[in-house]
Amino acid sequence: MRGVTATQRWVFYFVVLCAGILCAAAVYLPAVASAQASTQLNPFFGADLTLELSPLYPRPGETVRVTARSTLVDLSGATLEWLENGKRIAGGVGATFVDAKAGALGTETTVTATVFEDGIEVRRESARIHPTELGLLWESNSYVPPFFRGRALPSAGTMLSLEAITRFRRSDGSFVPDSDITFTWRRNGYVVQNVSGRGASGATLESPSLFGVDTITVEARTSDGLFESAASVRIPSVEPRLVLYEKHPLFGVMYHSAIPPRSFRPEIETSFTAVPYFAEALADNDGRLVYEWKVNGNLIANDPARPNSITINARGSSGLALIELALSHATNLFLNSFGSWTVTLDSGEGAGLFSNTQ
Amino acid sequence: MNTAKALRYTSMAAIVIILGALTFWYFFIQAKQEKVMGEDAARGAGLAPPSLGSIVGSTYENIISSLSTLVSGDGGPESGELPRLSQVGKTPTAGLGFVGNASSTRLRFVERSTGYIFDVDPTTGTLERLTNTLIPYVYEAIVAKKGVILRGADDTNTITTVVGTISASSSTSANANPLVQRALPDGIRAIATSPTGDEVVYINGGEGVFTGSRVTWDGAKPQHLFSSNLSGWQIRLALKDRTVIVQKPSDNVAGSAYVVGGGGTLLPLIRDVQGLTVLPSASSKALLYGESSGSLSLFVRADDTSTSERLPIRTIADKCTWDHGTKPVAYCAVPQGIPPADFLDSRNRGETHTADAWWKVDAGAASAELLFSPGSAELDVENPVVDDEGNYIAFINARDKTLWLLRIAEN
Repeated sequence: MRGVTATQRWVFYFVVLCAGILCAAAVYLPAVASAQASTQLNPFFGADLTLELSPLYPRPGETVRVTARSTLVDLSGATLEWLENGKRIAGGVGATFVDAKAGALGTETTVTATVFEDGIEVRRESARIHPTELGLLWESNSYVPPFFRGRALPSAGTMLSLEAITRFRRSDGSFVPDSDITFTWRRNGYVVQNVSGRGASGATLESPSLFGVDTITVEARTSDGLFESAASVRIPSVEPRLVLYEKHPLFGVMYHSAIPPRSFRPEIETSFTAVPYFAEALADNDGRLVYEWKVNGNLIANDPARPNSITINARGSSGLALIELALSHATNLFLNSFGSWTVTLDSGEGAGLFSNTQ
Repeated sequence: MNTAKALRYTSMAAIVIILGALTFWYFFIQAKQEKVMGEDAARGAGLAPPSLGSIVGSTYENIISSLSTLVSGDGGPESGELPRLSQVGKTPTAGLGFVGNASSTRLRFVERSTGYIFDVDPTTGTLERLTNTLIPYVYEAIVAKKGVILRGADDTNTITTVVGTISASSSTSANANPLVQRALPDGIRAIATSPTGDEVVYINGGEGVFTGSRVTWDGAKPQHLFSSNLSGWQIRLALKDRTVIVQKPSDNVAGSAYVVGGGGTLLPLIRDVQGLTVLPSASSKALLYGESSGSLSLFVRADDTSTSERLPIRTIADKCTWDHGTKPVAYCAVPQGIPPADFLDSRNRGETHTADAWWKVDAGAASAELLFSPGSAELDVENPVVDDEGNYIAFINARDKTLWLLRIAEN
């Protein structure tokens, strides 16, 4: 390097660096086509082509839009030819996208785009479609009574149970077991590291905060990158709901018939049970739940065994009972529910204890 | 003198007016009293307390006395036949089903307060009590060909389940016999019997791991079906070896249904439908499914690969039942009014009830026609069941859990 100035050396290094960056870009850019688009290395400098799939993780039989993109070639003026599994399905000037149909599970559909300029092929790219299925299911561990037919919804302080059900079918017909799949769980875009990992198809997360909505996402991929999918769900937090029922001496708690805000009961004495739907509790008489009953403004002492129940005897009174119930939680400060019901009981003579309850 | 005369006339007029007012008041109060007494009688006030001194008990007598309650108002029963729609009992029912064969179909049901099992002749309404084993607070019951499954809850809200078998002698005996019981594990979250009634599938577990198991009716050959992190499943058993599990629904919340495959794999049947309710056919791969997302929609699918067709009725699949015939026909109870937006949730909490009419659904043509309108009777149908011959639909009115019977044919 004798006779070469420092400036010339720096120019030489700069040119080499730029050439390296451009070569790397030529290789890298087509590789980011999509998670499921196989990419051939671009041997040509100056003609890039990428294929994008939408949806990114197609299901079996789903229509997939494959779109060609290039940063260096004006595709709107170029002629493109599209092949699906080697069979021409579309083509023409500016034909930058095509709709293909994903096959059944375990099949592979190859969509190939070829770009021609002046009748000369300048670039060819292929995308492989491996249909997958990924279901994301959830429920909360909030309290609902036995035999409740609905979903337990999350409230602040409760936990969410989530389960990802994958169906990655290989070409030989076998399914990839969960133990060979890496699951990445995200809450509002942030990875939840302690529940993610290989085989982690289930997760337990905190429910959304009070009045909050969380977006939970799970990504599943095999280590060879052949199968990949993702699913997400928006889960809102609900407020626990106090519902009052008659606790009948013969029929038990009448879960099928909630006490409305104003009602008449043809009995002199009636027992009521409050059910704290969606509260953080293992049972309606969970020791962490604090029930505060008032009848006509008077505070009523709780039955230690059944703090969520109350019995009212209207003999010798007007029969009118304004029942108020406040529910709080010993450790969950977000749990505060209130309910009030005006119940008119039969205060007179005549109606027996076992008279009809309807 | 004129003043005295005027005073006399005024006094007489006042007396006449007062007498008239008192007479009016008398008749007015009397009318009100009659109205109040009528309302009290309608609510059951003033009835004598039930006697526990009889052989079969008061609830039995209540059921007997309430048989053949005429609701549709089109005349009384002729020659001992029940009207087209009849209330079989006035006390809450835990579960129901049809048993017997074509020549002797009987409606069997379990009384909620006692666990007693009764048979009703759907033609005449003749009632027979089969068991005398007292099992109080039966919240749910399944009636199968080989017996019954009774479910209750203890003080800690743990669900208890027993399988009860009625011996052959008891069903023909004039006197009720004990129910032979066998306990299933505690904490069973969901349970169903196969259409043939010889197998039971249930889900139980805890600590985030719940398993589905299949056993024969007598508890033999336990078989692990699948595992799940979730407990909120419903089970629907359809064709032989076709176990369908459905996520418990909530309005505007996506739910999915799966067929349990070999090795515990879950094969998607329906995915991500808001407020999903599902009813697969017991004799084919056809299914009905409902959506609750602000309003109700009902869809039908001929098989797993067919596209779904929207039916012209708005209800949930839980209010439907498949006919057992060769044609893909189902019967659905359809709310006659517009249900609230949170219909599923509020109904499941007992806060909302519907007044339904019965529709016949032709699943092949994706059409529906009105079958029966109950008039003034307000029926919130749940757990509907059709007998094997397709003559009757039995169901529970969710308003009060009473048992009802509808004859499908008009005559």
